[in-house]
Amino acid sequence: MSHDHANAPAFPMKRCPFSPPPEYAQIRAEAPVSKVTMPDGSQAWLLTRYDDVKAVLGDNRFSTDPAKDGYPFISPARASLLKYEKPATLIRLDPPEHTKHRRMLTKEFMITQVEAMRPFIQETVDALLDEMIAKGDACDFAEEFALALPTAVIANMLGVPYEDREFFQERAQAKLDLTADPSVPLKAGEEMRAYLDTLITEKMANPGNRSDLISRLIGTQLVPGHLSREEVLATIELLLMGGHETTANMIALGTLSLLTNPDQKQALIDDPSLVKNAIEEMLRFHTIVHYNGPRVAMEDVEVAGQLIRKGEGVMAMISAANRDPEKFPDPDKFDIRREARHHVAFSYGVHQCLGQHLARLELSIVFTTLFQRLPSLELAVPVEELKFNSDAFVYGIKSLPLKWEPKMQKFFSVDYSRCVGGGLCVMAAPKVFAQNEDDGLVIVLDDNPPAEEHENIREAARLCPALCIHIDK
Amino acid sequence: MADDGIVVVGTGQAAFQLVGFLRDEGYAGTIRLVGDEAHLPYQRPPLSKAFMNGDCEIDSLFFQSREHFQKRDIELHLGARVTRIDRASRFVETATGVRLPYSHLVLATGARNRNLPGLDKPYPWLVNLRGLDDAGNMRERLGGAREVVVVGAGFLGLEFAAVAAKKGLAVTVIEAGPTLMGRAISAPVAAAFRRHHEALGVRFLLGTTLAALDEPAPGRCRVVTREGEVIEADLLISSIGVQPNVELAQDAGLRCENGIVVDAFLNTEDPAISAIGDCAAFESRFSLGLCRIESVQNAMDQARCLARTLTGNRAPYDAAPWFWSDQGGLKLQIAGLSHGADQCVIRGDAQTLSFSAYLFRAGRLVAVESVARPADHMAARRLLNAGVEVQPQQAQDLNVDLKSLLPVAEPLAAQPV
Repeated sequence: MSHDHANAPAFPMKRCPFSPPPEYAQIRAEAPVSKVTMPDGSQAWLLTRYDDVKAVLGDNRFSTDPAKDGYPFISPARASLLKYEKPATLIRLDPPEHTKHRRMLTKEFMITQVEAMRPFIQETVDALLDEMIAKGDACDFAEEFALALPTAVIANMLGVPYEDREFFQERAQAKLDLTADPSVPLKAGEEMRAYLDTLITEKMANPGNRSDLISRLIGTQLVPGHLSREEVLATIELLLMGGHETTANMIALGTLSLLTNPDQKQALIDDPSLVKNAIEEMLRFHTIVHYNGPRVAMEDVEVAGQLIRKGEGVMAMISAANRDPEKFPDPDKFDIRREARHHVAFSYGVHQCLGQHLARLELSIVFTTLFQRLPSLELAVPVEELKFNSDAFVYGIKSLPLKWEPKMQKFFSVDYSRCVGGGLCVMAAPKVFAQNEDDGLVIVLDDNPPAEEHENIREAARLCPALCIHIDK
Repeated sequence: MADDGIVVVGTGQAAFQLVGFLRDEGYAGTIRLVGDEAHLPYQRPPLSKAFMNGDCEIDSLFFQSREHFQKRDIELHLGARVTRIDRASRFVETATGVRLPYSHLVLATGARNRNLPGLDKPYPWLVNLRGLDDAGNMRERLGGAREVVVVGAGFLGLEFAAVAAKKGLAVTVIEAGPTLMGRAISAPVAAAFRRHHEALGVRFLLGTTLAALDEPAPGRCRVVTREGEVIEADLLISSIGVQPNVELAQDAGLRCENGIVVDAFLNTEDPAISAIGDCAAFESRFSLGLCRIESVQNAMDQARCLARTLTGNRAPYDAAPWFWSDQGGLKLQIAGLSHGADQCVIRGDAQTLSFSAYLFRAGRLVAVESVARPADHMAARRLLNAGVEVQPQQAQDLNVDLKSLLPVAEPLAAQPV
């Protein structure tokens, strides 16, 4: 190509466990809009500054359609999937088609709708932790908790049998593997859609009074003909994949960050109102969709004084934007107290993550429960031995061995779903119970309280008008 | 005159809390707790919820053991019905003629269910749900029943209806008014709960009353509505509202108007007599005229306020009312009092089962009803307590964080809010 630059560094660059490739910082400081060489030999613009990344992601003159000439592909496996899998899901569509497809789903993922999932999510978190604790004093947290929770949540929301999780988890991982043979993601996608196709047939044959999202899509989009069967399949597959793989990795990495920063973990236990902020910082710090977002210019556009020509590829790196020191002072420091809400981990513009409220809700329930239940949680292996998944489109950790102090017989337990926020328990046993700053619901400050608190807890149990507190001993 | 201490009539939540708070505040005199129920003080809210559903047993309902009252030097007179107050000589007299002198008397006599007109005979299929004995009796019968009729779609009736429907019984609710929880709740919230109950299988006959009621066979009841619909059932639950137990006060010449009338310090016109809980009628900045509130919050907060006043920390009762109801797993939380409201805006989507209704009276926020939105509820309690002005447009705008309207973000203290 005539506009190619000599010595454009190769992309992708190697990242570190807890930060994007160090080259990003250097490029941002020296030449924030500069060219890189993609694996197929073509060149694309690499954007590393927060403002530039946001400008491109928010500008409809940049397309996400991989069929458009010049679209930058980060690996042959990804290229094969994006080019040949049909029909394209909404993340590969531009407005106005994108708008049409997205609008069908917007309501499903609004805060109010998602909030209705809270009791189910809390119950699932409690049950998974119960199971972990019952089994012993160590586990692979990535597999047994971090992946299990969002899988159960999205399966419940969509109406996909949770028993089939291994099947769709494996296919999702194969689809996201950037280093696989180019046939692998395509095949995994085909198998996934075939599986979902059978599920749709079953649901249509036995409509009952199902209230899951797939049944609603069938009723409101497929049957009236707004979407073809193939389009419905593509949409469901996207939701199923997007719904578990990303949140799973955020839970695992977020947990790891807190374990490696014990003072911050303790601060979070002492003051659960920090959770909201902590989640935003986890999202920013890890930016797990670390290859987002490839775009191609549909016309000549100037970005930060640099002319990007029609047909040129752009890598608007959200992982780099979230480490821009102009926007996040001391960006490589994990700090749950920092102001991180303006991060772009969910991307920006029309393709901003549809499921972000659900992700935030899951994370907030996890991080208001996990360390309260298991304050002694710690890594079972040295950090250096952990294996990170750098080769996937979604960054994460393959296995996270954790351990905790062996189970003590608990003095009491709390049925969170019944709490009405009366605050009577706080009055009776202020060292053991607190009220959530936002919704007034009960927070257990001390899961294993000293004996001198037992009488107060008994009193709290007796006073609770919803009978949420049970004395187990 | 010798100090004869404090006599509390009633053994419900307000009474129980009051005697505890009095000791907490350092009151050292005699405390006597007198009531006609034979049970130790117990929790009422779970009777129609967790207890009815079989999630807990009777033991977990009692606030404290007998030993606890002994240890705190609180005299219990259970199964003792007070029949008379002698204000001049300052004593109360029980049905068995026992006289208990007082220096201060607290009436926490509660309320009782209104009876279905014309039903004075104790039919085996008829249950009033108010006390522990009623609830235990009903839970037992629920086991053998297949069809139930609930008369009255108030909180209590609906909580019970949801439990019964979830157990697989055929449930019909008959209500004279046009909506569920009519007097207490806005139309959108009532509609949402109706959808929820109907999804559980509850059938509603609204805007109708019973024209006839009889016993077609032993142990069965037959209901005929005004429109002539005939329903047979194994159980009939009457929950058509309550009336305050004011007779004792009335006979003693104290002012009663749908409750024993008290001032801001919870005192009747007799400075030696107070009234708290379900039986007390009072004015507050949250009400239009006199109000009477049946809630855990009111019982608790009035008990605490009175305990302080009686121990020298005199302060008016000024807590924002809040309520909750759990109907088949769907939680309703209410902050404030909605009577007289003339405007209602919705936060969230009223077609779902997760939204809040904000009720305004002459432009002022007076109540917030939250369906599975505990954060809205908590913010509302604080906004109402702080007397913050909220605009209807702000209330319905999900982008406005209502909590941010509070003057100072004060952390939740170790006090219930």
